Order: sequence, then structure tokens, then C-alpha cells
Amino acid sequence: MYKLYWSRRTGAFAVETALTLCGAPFERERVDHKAGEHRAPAFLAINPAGQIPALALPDGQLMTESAAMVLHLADAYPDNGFWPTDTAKRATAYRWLVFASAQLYETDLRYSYADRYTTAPGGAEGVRQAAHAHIDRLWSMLAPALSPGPFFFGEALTLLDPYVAMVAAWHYDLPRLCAAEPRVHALLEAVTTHPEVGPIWRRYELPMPALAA
Amino acid sequence: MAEPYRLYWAPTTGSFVVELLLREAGAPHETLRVQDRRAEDFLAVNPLGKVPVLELPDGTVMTESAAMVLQLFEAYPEADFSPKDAEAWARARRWLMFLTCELYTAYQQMHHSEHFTVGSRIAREEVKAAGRGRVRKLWKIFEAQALSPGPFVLGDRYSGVDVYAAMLTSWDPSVDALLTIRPKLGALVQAVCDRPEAAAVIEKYKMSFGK
Repeated sequence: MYKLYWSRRTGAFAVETALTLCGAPFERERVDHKAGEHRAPAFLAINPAGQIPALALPDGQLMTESAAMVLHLADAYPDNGFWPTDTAKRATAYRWLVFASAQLYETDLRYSYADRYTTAPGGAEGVRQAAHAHIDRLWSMLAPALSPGPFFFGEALTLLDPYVAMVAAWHYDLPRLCAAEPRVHALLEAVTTHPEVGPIWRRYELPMPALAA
Repeated sequence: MAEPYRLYWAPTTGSFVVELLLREAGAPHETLRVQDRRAEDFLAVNPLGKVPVLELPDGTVMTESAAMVLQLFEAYPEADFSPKDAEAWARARRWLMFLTCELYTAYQQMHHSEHFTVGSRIAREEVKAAGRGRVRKLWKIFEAQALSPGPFVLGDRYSGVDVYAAMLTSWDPSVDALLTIRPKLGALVQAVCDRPEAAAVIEKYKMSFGK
């Protein structure tokens, strides 16, 4: 049995989606980060870095890093049907998953927690503005990979799609992102209306994109 | 005859880990030095203007050095650098993602502070200072958790994740001090430098590990 430590609106969403789509047995334990539970001794004993999500594997090994968890599940359930099997597509999936986690996710953190990125008391606003400009540039680079769409690999949902949609939902101005990048908007629509993924999205209280008329 | 891997590279960049693993795997490959990352022909390959770029034998274009490491693990499961069982794979993925998502970006913050604030020169110094603090904290976590029991991330087995970690230390402006206060990390870097294929690649990429 897997055990997922989760909190609303966090990267745990992508991991729970992967667990669900793979049909992996799992239980959930909520760590309320708004209430500071991720800094409490009980959780720090499990994950000393205090990061959510954390995933305990059936053998007891603990994983951190949501992208690593998604890769682990894709591999642990090789017949899941939600990860590409041919080499070229797998390479492409690795490329965009790492891009989403190392670049997009990290840049989202820069405007959400701008004060952590400067030692200057009034420096956060400058960090936030730079992060806004940077994230818009990153999305314009990813968008062509969503052709023809709505998913990275056409009509076939993979574990990459909910991950990228989640990071898109953290954008500082979601309607603006949807307007600037119609392919990203189409991805968000397809993920949030997916019969298995949509309910998880809503439970994690991720923002909903406006549905196109 | 299959096409070779084609690696676009530049000194001191993330292409270091990719070339070392290609050499260790004995993979047919050619390397193309990127002189100008803003040149139109390179931007056509990677619009982000970032090195490395790896073209697979079938023509698939990859960016993101950590993604390339994952790809090479899969393409060369028998190579020394690839994880060999499920537990090792989980550990390798976890710490590779930690290194690329957290430490890599913390070094970006130190070396490219102009991308991290719209503020003045003084504001950039404050961003760099925060980056230094982040780097120190992250290596502390890495040493305590990834290198325990050690000496490698996968315990007594070497892997590509070790090369990735060693590469990041070379980006530290105080690499000597870092490897002194983090002796397990220092031992890891030494072990990577001692790999038979490493010396030539270290020289080619002008990597510096202090001393």
C-alpha cells in the first residue's frame, strides 16, 4: 500500500492522479500546510525537508519530488496505459516532465514565495515581476509541444498531462495564460473534464479554467 | 548503421554529465560546440537558447539534462551508471529530481540573478545572497539524506546521479569550502573524478572542483 501525504493545491495532485490512473492501492494523509502542519515534528519525522507531497512506497521507502513519484508509478505499473512505451515518446515525456518540474514549477514558486529569493526586506516585488516575465516565456516554449493536442500525445492522456495542467493552474493570472496560450487552455479543459482526473482536480481545489464557449 | 547521438555542448554546462555517460556507455555520439546560444540556427534547435540539447539516434530532440540522464539510464540498463533494481530506481529518480529542481535552480539564482529580479545591481546582490543560503541548505539535506549511508546516492553503487551532483558542485563559487564542510559530498566528487572516462571530459568542459 502506498501512502501519500497531501495538501490542497500542491503537487500531491499529480501524484494522486498517477496513483489513481495506475490502479495502485494507496491511502492518503492530509498535511494541512496552511495550518503549518508540514513544519510540525510529526511530519518532519517523516520528511525532514518538510515538503509536500511525500510518498511512502509499499516497502517503506520514502520519496520526495512529485515528478520523481510520477516517473516511479509509470514504471511500477508498466501496463498502466498512461505512459508512452516507445523510445521517442518516452524521451519527449521525460523532457517535458523535467521542464515542467525544474523550470515551470520552480518559477511558480518564485512569485508565490518571492521573499525567499532575496535577502532584501523590500526585494520581493522585483523577484515577483521577473518571475512573471519568465514564466510567460516558458509557457510560450512549451505550447508548441501540445500540437495537435489537447494532450502531449494527441487524444491519449498520459501522466504528464495532469502534471503540466496543475502547474498551469498555479499561474499568477490564469485567464491571461489561457488567452495567451490557447493550447495550454485546451490542455486544462481536457484535464479538468476528464472523467477520472476532473474529480481529483476539484478535490484539490485547483482553479478551474474558464470553459471556452 | 544507426545514427549517432548528437550532443550540443558548451564548457561548464549540463552537457558535461551527458557526454560522460555517453562515453561510459560506449554509445556512438558526436558533439557540436555551441559558440553562440543566441544564434538563429541554435535557437531553431532549442528556442530556450540553453545547452545541452541531445538528438537521439531516431532524431528526437531532447532538452533538460536530467531528462537526458533518465533517457540514458533506460537506453543502457547494463551500464555501470544505471540503477539496477526497483529500490535503486526510486532513489535515483528522487535525488536526480531534487538536484535538478532545487539545486540547479539555486545555482541559476546565484549565477543569473538578473533573471531573478527586475531590480537594480543591489537587488541582484540580495538575490545572489539568498541563492547562496539556499544552496548551503540544500547540500546539507542532500548530504544527510541522499549520501546516507553512502558513499554513493545508491549506497555502494555508483550511478549517473552522482555525476549530476558532482557537476553541480563545480558551479559553486566556493567549491573548496563546500566540499570541506560536506566531506561526504567531497568524497563523492572525488569518486566521480576517478572514473576512468572522467579526466578527459573534465578537461574538455573546463570543470573545476577546487584545489
